[in-house]
Amino acid sequence: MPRVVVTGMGAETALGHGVSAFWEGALLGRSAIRPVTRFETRRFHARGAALIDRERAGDGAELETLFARDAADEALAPCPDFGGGRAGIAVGTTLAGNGALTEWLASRPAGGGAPPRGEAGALSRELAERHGARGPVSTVSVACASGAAAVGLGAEWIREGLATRVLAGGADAISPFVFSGFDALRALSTSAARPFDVARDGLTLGDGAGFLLLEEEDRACRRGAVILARVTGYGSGSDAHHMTRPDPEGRGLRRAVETALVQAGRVSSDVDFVSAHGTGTTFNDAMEEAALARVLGAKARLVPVNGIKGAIGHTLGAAGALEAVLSVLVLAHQRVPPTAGHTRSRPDSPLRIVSGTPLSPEKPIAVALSTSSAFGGTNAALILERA
Amino acid sequence: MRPVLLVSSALAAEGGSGAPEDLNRLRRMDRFGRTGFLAGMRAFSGAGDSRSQGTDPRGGVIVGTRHGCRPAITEHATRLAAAARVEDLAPSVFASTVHNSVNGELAMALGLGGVSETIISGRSAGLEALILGARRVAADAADRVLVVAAEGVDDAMREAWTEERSALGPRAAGVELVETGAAVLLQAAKMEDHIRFVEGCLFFEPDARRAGLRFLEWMKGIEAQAGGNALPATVSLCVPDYEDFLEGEERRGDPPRIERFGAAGLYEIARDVAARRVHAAGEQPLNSPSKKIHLYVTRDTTGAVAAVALEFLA
Repeated sequence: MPRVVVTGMGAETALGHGVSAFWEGALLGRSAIRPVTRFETRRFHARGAALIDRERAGDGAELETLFARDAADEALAPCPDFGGGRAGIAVGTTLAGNGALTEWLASRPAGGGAPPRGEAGALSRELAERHGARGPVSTVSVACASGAAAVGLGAEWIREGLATRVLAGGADAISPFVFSGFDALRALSTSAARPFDVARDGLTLGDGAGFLLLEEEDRACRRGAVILARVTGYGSGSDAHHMTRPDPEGRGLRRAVETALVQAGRVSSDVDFVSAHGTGTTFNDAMEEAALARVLGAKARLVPVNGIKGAIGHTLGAAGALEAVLSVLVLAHQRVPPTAGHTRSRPDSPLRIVSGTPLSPEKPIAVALSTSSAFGGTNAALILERA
Repeated sequence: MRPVLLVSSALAAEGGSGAPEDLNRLRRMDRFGRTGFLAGMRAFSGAGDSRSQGTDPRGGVIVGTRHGCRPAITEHATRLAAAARVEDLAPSVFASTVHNSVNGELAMALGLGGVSETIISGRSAGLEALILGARRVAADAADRVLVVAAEGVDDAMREAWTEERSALGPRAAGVELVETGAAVLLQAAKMEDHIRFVEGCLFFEPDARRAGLRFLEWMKGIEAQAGGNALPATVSLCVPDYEDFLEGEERRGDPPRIERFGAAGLYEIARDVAARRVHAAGEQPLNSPSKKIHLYVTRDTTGAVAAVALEFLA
């Protein structure tokens, strides 16, 4: 079965344009969370988000499309001949197209013209057109696990011989639609997300797009590509518990992680780093602590954990993809960024949250686990390994 | 890879009702949720499976849809447009604005704790979900997967379809949008008198003629494997380039006059399976009893193609 390697990456986050800005900001423990100016927040309890300072393009493309285009261009830069019948595109998104629909509905009483025909699934096809991909092209939408699921799907296409190269990732942009919804659920922090912190009080939303260029290893080696990491495992699991509240014992996430480990041919003691979902809500972080403590066992207190949402906010459909990008960077640089917003874990936390300054671990980081959890009870896990 | 069998199928029509124990659950769903949930529940019970008391980690749900939770999105957006403060919104409506809402509801109702994935790749989403579900079972990532394709249609979607249909040109004139839910249950266990998933095909090709050539090449490979025992493809193509896509394919028949978006391909399969069951029960003859391999294809107006070959056993 072909092995899957990462040969390119792209990131658009509120920390800045490109993977370098993302990594430098993460290492510094910077938070890009600011008061929202893109739309009016007076109706809401929360005021902050990690938004990318960007306006819609002249061609009417939505913000998430612009973020996706930029991140995809960066990821594909090392592979100028990407395209053709063996090239695939897998995109995860939760919100694409919602902005246009919301605006149309708001303007309808005043004669808002024709309803938008756009759909969330159009994002992958837009990228396929842009980059000439004629293999499998798909959009995955499992709420906040969408990005991880897209990366997992893309890796599987290569393993199963459906494609030799896949651009895989996710994108979303924050609008009043999603901001109001999370605020109505009282899930937003009134200050800023503090993943796994004892005083955490909710999540903060963020714009983002993250993409990885996945390739069949032999083919990547033949063209002399720089191999950044390997994608060795993907798992999906359902809580079967509640639509918005996570299972307190994290059973769905555990199943996803265990499936990913089996696919990678690894055991839990092999995991050297965790890029956690870490939204900063009371329930999610407690669930994740429970799940990881159970999966990692006694090693849980030793494995460094980062929650990047304290820096870039919860980027929804992009989150799992950006956290995969972060995992590759950690594997490549052998440094773990601090969790922005985190100062102190609760006393009985079973996890080793990296806080304050970057960590250069005592033993090499060879295996990274990236976790995602979502509304609908969907969980996803990726295993990435050092090249 | 393990053989994958399609052991049950079901359709959910507009206005269908569920079991009494599901009424509260159905009440909180939007039209997409209800349509997909009802189809999924019927396919599950049609296989003779009962609801699990615990959670089955080897059972999963995979959904395909074009517009997914758009009815809930429309409702939340409408409320937001009128809201003076956040308290005017309904958190439960926002909670339904995820395209994997059907996955979550079915997983909870049936105790399916395994794979959970939702594909939203336009008209090809339903067959793509079926291909993904079959891969999950074949690769031993699950023992049974409930595959659901659904589109819930509200007034805003009908309005949008009217606009879209106009843009598609004269060949789409009169094509009606119909709310559809279809589901099949895939299993790995060896059983007789069921339907085997043979192969899936997935690609993107905006040019209709080139897409047609790729599809026909795949179809000929399947026909060769079947030794002339394959039925003509059942085509779910409400697209203006229908004739271009199937140029040279003499058996193409007439284009469908009903638009089911992402539920189209799985609808055709569930319908054929139901017909076969009626035939097996001796109630009426099957129109095409002699051919074992059935082919299904969907193509989105943008170029995404998904095709599936099923073998009707015994």
